[in-house]
Amino acid sequence: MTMDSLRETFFAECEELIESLTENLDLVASHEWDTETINAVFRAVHSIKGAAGAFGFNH
Amino acid sequence: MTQKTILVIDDSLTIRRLVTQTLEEGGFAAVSAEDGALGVEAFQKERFDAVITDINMPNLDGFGVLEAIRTGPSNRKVPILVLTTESSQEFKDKARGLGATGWIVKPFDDKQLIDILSLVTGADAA
Repeated sequence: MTMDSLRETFFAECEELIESLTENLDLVASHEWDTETINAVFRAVHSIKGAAGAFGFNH
Repeated sequence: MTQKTILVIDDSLTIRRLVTQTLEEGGFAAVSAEDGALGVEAFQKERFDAVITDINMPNLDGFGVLEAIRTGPSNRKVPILVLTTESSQEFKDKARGLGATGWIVKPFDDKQLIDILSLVTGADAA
């Protein structure tokens, strides 16, 4: 597996995570959230941060 | 020497692929699971030489994985490395208390990961 292929995986995953992040933040904004909504928001940000660092995207 | 097999538990597909590729290049075999619950299930079915787990995951987090493996009936001594973006001492202490062998902060260094795994599994580094 090449680094380019891994990078494609990363960007595809980012799109999914950002979509989920947006949905969950909308729930928070409309006061329809529960603990799992907040946990999912944190996990999405953590996942993006964790994988981004592997590609040297540190800023 | 027999190839060592590592169980990789992380909810990020990118990290699972990155770690798996690094392990395979380092001479290990890897099996991956996408959350803690599936990781524990995989652990109970096969014999692994070491486990690498993330902390923040749906269904069962890394602390739950540590607890399930360490209190389970088999392989209580298997090395478990935590691979996470978390770097707080409080989390590290909690993981250590639950039986973690080591803690690696993402982004990880390929050589460091292979060296640590070779050390804890007794494998020859590739």
